[in-house]
Amino acid sequence: MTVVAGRTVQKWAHLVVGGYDLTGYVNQIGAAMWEYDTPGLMALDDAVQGGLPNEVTVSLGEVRGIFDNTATSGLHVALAAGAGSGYIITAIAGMRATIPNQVAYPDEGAVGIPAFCGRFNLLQYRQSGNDGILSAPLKFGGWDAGGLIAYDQPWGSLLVHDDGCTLNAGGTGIASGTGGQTTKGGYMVYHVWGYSGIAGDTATISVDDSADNSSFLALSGCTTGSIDVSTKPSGIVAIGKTATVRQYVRWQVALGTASDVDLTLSFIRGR
Amino acid sequence: MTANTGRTVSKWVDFIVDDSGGTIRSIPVSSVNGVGLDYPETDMSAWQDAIKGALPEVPECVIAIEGPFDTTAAQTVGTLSGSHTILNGINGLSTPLTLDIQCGVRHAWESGEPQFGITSSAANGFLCRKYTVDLSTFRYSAEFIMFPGSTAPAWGTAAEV
Repeated sequence: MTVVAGRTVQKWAHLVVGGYDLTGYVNQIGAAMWEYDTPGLMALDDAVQGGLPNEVTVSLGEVRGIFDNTATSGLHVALAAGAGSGYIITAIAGMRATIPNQVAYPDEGAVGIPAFCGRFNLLQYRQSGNDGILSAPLKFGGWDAGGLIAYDQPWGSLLVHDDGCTLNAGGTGIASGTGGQTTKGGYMVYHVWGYSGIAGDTATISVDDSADNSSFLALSGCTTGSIDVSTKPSGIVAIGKTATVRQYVRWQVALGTASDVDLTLSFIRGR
Repeated sequence: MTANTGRTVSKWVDFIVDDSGGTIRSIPVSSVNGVGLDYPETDMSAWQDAIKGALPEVPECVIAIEGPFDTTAAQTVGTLSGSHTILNGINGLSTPLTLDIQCGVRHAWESGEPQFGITSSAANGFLCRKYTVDLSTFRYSAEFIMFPGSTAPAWGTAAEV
């Protein structure tokens, strides 16, 4: 299935927060904010006032959740105790269709699905009973200062959002927007929201790159290393700001003791 | 066709901006805050004046737009490129951008009809400082300011290139 380009609506969006796929527990996602301070730099003899981009604010804003205590996956289970903490977040802009099954059809990549990623502070998790609905509004703040990275752009490409991921042997990749390799690094954002195995089982999540979309190698440094996938791990792994990333990137899983993992993985190229 | 004169409607407006590689692209918009220069005014009045007086200061030019989130690949100007495709690449950069708001008069804009903008150079042009997507509506808002020291954009009738 080829991903369509163009416009879309919220019904195709997905939200993954801190290792939990919360798509089935929210009914409205906030504003993906990306805004630079621009201190004025006007001189007296300038023809028009001007400024330059300085510090940037990236945030997700408010998410309207549905109060739900479903065991192991419900919104209440995921976030009730988390207010005041930073969460890895991936908001996926699905394009007028469900996300292609990456495990069954690894050569039909999720090309062209943007993902808004970051690590944001959860400021409020408050059960609300207005209008007869038990909801749980979530208010996210700015980027968690306990997890700053060297990159300032939050939008990247979704590589996979699927369950049952194992070794990606034949999958194709996502091309860079510039049509070639880039030399400004990047970062990956991962969530493991399920697995097959027992508590303590392990796997390694990583990104491969390729010059020809056929012969892939591991992108140096862009890996979690072996991690316990039974605890719904999530995180950001950034590579060097001048690292070369070849034209195509794809997801990769090296299983340790786990049999498979349910994975959301995105990659944001540096610029 | 020849340039028209007279009144027109928004369907004939084209919003054109450089992509990150410096190629001009048309992107979809559904709102533009206002096009032109905005001069702040300083009150120069004295008690003894018969009438209050003021003088204009250095003008501002902030262009705020809204429109649909769109991932269409980059197209030749005149055909809509995706808003996300273009704005995601230029937000926060410090390289001046060409910007051209063309107001076609009852048909697609032609040379001779009004346009407002500036052709970029190393020291002249706009910068994109905000690109925010409302994920509940999948509509974006973006904002452009002037590069410091830039010449002012202006109304004209010839395309910025």
